[in-house]
Amino acid sequence: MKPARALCIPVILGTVRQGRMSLPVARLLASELTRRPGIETELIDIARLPLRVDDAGEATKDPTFSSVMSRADALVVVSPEYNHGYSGLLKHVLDSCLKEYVHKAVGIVGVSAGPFGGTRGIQDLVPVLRELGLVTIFWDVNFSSVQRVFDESGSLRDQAYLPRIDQFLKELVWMARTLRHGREHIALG
Amino acid sequence: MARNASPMICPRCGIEMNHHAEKLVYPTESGDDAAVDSVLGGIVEELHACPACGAGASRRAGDRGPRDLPG
Repeated sequence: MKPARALCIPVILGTVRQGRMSLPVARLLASELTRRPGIETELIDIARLPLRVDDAGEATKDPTFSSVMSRADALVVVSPEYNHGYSGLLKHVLDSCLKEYVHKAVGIVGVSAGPFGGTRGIQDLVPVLRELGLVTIFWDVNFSSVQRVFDESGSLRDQAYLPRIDQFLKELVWMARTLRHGREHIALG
Repeated sequence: MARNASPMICPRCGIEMNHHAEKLVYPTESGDDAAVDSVLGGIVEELHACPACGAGASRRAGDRGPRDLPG
C-alpha cells in the first residue's frame, strides 16, 4: 500500500503591522503543527507577499501563494482584531485566490490586546471564508491580552494555551482528512 | 465516483478526476457576460480533484478541457 500523502496545513499570519504580537502566535501554531506526524506546514507572512494594491481579487494573484493554497488541505488563519475587525490586508490577500480554497478546512486563531481574544474579528471573518469555499471548523483559539502571553523572546508564558491548540488542531486535521477524501472520491450531485 | 460525460483527466496521473464542487463566480470582465448563467446569476465553475495525487483543476461548466490547473 502506498504511504498516505502528508496533509498540507499552512499558517497564514494575517497582519503587516509593525511590532505585531500575532507573529509569536503564528510561530507557535506552526510549531505545534510540525510536531504532529503526517503534516507539512509553513508560515505565510502576508507582509512578505508581493501583492499589488492598485487592484483587487484574482487579478492580484501571486503564483507562489496560489500554489501553496492549491496544495493546502487546510489553513490556519491567525487574525488579530483591529478596531473590532480583521485586518484589511488579510482580506486583500485571501481575495487573491478562489478556486484554490474550495472544499478545504480552515481554523481561525484570534488575537487581541484586550480581553476578548479577537472574537469580533473572527465573527466577521467566518462569512468571508465561507464565500471563498472554505469550511470553517467549530474550534477557535483566542489569544486575549496577547502582550502578556509571550515573553520578550517570543516563548509562551501561559501553558494553558497548549491543550486549547491541541483541541483546535485535532478538529482541523479531522476536517482536512475528511474533506480531502470528499474532494478526491465523492462526486457532486 | 460518478461518470462525467466529459471527464477531466489528471495531467500527472492520466486518470479521471473527481468532480467535487461547482462554485458560482461573478464576471469581472465584459467578455465574461456570455458565460453567466441567467438563472443562477453567475458563472458556474467546476472543481475537480485527482483521486491519486490530489491535484486540483477547474473549468467553466460546459467547457470540455481544463481552464486552470492550480498547483
